[in-house]
Amino acid sequence: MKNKWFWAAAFSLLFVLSIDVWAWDWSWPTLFGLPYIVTYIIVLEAALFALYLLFARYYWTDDGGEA
Amino acid sequence: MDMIAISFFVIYLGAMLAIAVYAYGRSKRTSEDYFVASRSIGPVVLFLSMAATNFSAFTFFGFAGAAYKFGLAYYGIMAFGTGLMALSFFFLGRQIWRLGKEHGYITPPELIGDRFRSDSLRMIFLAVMVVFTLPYIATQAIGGGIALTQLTDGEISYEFGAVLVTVVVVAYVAIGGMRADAYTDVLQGVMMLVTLLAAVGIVSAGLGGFTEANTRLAEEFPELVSRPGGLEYFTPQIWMSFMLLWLFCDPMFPQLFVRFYGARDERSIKLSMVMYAPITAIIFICPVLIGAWGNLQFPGLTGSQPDQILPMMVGEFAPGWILGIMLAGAFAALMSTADSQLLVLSSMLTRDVYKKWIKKNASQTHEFIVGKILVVALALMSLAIALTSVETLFETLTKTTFTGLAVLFPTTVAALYWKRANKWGCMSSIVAGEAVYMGFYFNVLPASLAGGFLPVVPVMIAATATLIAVSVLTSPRSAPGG
Repeated sequence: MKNKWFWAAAFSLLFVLSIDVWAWDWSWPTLFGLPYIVTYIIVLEAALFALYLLFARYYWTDDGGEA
Repeated sequence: MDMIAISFFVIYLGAMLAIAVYAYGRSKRTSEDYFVASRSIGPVVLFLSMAATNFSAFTFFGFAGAAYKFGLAYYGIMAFGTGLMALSFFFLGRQIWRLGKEHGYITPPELIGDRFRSDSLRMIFLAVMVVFTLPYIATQAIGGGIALTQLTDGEISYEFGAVLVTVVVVAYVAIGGMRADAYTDVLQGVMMLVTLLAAVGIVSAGLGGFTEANTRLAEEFPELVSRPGGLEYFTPQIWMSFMLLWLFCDPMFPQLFVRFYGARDERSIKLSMVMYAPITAIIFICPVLIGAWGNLQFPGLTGSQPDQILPMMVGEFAPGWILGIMLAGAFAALMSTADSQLLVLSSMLTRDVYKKWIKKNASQTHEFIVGKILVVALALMSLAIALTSVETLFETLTKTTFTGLAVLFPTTVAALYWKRANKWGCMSSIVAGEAVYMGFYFNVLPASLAGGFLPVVPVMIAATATLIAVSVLTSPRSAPGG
């Protein structure tokens, strides 16, 4: 959690996951009739929010110091 | 003309001016206070101000129109792309805030010029920011004119609407500066959020319910619920291009750049980063859904007609006064962007041109007065653009703004992190990046050269490679100002 490469890998992985070429033409309905792509992006946004929270808590300390 | 809607709109404008007067009462009459609120903006206000400034008239009208044409996949491009962009608040915003506090920087070119000890680079950086931002202020005035015409069923002309929006924005920016700008952003941000959520509720109810609307869309327009989208626009290359475009260009918007200076502490910037993911997830889904659903009610719109789909859909299912409130939300979006752009351009012309070249010994009070005069002058210029037909130049600049500003990204990163970079590398990088982009824009370079990506990808490769190569091949810079 204090290693910058850990965070670089985590955010890069999320970026790669957003380009989910394996599911590029999936369009079936999910929750509330929303198509797969919308639900998938909402899940990614939730993951991004969680990553930011952890990043702010464990890496970006208030004194600005990082490992 | 619906009097309830008009009354609501008048109250809204009055509230903006009242907030400006309140902000003026708390101001110190110095340039640092006027332009960056004495670096005192706390976490919640900074976050809402960042969001309201970033989401413009385009959020209301442009996103819905794009979703009408390309479908729901547009949501990912905007929401996840902008959410991920907030990571730059850490690697750029934090450093910009620290250096601004340490050296008293107020404008972006000040930081860049001082880091490389180069007035030429400072002027080039300034020129790029001004050239690509001024037309965008005019865009907001144009949006205001169109929205007010709709609100009054054409009884108030487009020209009057553009003038009215400009006058109110100038009034509260001139009175209260960044402090008024940030405070009004809070109200405007909340208004945007509430009106967009209400619009989704109204429109989905009119279509038979949220699930029903989505089910009908999937049955009648299956291409609009797929990832490739309408016209199969979204390829993996286009998707990656947009992700990179937002990451590179958003922090280079001067109105966002200076908000890092205005932060009270790192905690304020940190909160903005953390909250950007949920706010983009919520805000962007609204116009995208309404735009895509628009095909169910108004199929076959062409040209620029889809850009009107959001007010058309709300107007179809709600009484006139509710449409009026919705349009006030659109006004909030465009005014919160225009005020920030006016203020930052005024600060740059005051500090980077007037104080630098015309009156070097200008006091903070003197700068404060010049800044106010420039706010009025810049507003008149943008209004002139909005009211006259200079469409070719105007459209060109507007369409090239995002990538045009993204070209500044490598120089900014180098200024903050790469000690070997020098002014020659940065100036060459900006010139090369803009030249390559103009080459693509005017079809001098074949589109195939981009390999299916948007021009921003080859442009950034050219700008970055030039910066590295020229910096390595020329003398190292002297010690930077920080």
